[in-house]
Amino acid sequence: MEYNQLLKELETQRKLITKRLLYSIGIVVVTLLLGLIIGQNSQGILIGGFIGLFFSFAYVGTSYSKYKKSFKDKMMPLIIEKTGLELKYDYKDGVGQNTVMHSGLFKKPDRYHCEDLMYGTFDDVRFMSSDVHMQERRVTRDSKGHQRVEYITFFRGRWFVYDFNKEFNGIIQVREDGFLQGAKWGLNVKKISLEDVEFNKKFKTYATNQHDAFYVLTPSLMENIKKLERRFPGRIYFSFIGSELHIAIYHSKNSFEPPVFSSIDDQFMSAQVEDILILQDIVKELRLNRNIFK
Amino acid sequence: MGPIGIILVVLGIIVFFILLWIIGGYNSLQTGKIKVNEAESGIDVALTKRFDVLTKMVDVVKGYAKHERETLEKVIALRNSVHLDQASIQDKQKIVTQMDEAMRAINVVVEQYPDLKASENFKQLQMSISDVEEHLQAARRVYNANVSAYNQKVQLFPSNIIAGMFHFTSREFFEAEEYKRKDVEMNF
Repeated sequence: MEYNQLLKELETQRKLITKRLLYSIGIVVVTLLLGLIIGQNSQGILIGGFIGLFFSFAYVGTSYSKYKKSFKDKMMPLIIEKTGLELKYDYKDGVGQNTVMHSGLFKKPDRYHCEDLMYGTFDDVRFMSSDVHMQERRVTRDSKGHQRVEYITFFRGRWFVYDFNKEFNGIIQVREDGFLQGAKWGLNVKKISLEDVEFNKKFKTYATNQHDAFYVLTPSLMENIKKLERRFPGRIYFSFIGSELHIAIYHSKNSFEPPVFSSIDDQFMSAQVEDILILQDIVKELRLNRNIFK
Repeated sequence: MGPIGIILVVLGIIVFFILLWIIGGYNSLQTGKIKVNEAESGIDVALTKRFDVLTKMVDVVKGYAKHERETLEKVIALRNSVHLDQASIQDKQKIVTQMDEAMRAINVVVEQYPDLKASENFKQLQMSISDVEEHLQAARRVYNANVSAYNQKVQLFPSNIIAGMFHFTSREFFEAEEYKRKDVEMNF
């Protein structure tokens, strides 16, 4: 399908969502009034409100799902084409939980969700990336003894996995926050202080041994990690393990989602292209394509 | 308890805390010293590996080298005469400088003989030497980081009092010119 034609189709679908959103407000108002008339009390209003909300969600949800599917199925391949990168995309898949857990960056979640998987090779460096959302289950009791279960997000953002060009035993982690609970998930690491004072202030480094940390975190890699951190809002985490580098960016955003309250324009498209090009930028900035053995 | 008893108890408490401070300070300095020594053995390990790979490289290029033969032979002689575990950090720095000279000589020879550069044997050695260089640089940085932390304890107040009492002295940094705060680049 031609790009402009696709844009028109998506715009039509987007307008349908906004229209349905407006209608759904009307639906809720009507059901609230019906609840009040029939029930004659606050319970009636509550039931009416619930029914209204339920129908509204279903009404708007179906059109949003259709819009999202069209965007991801048809528009995303075109955006990827614009980047010039050779990568595969599957919006229903993501970086698997086992892979994420292998990095040792976070504890095992009670709820795990991933989507927007991209994978490929750049300059002989294999990579994959996706959105990842991890939550833990927390049970609380109020003063009356009522149990309440809630799911607390402890990571939501993008996860990258790259081939790493140095081999060593153990694990090295560079984190923007501390690692007080690290021992909880069985990592035998100690805090390492590197010679770069600015780096030490910005990040906490943990490794199974000091030599490996200095072997991997060369002065130039530390400089490039600092640059990368300045580029991304939110917290950034690095884990070097085996011959893999995991980078986790916790920015609480859902990437590659079509806009609902504004049209898909050039600015939006450029932002998506830039978001994908990050995959390549990381390889260049961290010089992951530099084979030290060449 | 009389006034003398109170004074004795207070003095006892003060002496107890001073002893605790001395023990803590001594242990901290001793730990720092052990870390420096461990890091120095890390340098020894990396240097030994570098010697080994370099010796193999010299063997490979020796036949091609005419003008550089003397420099290359010096490395072999050095390898046979030096005991790294007994050498001081300055001696190790000198060894690194001599090895660098040999590397440069090898570089010159390799540039003159493309067939040598392209040989599988030599490529393997190139891979090994690059890795060894990275490890040597890491070992040097680990050593210097540990020396820096240890020297601060030796020189700064109040830990310098304990350092003086138990004859802890500052250690020298390992500073080979070629390795100053930059990544290793082996160009052939």
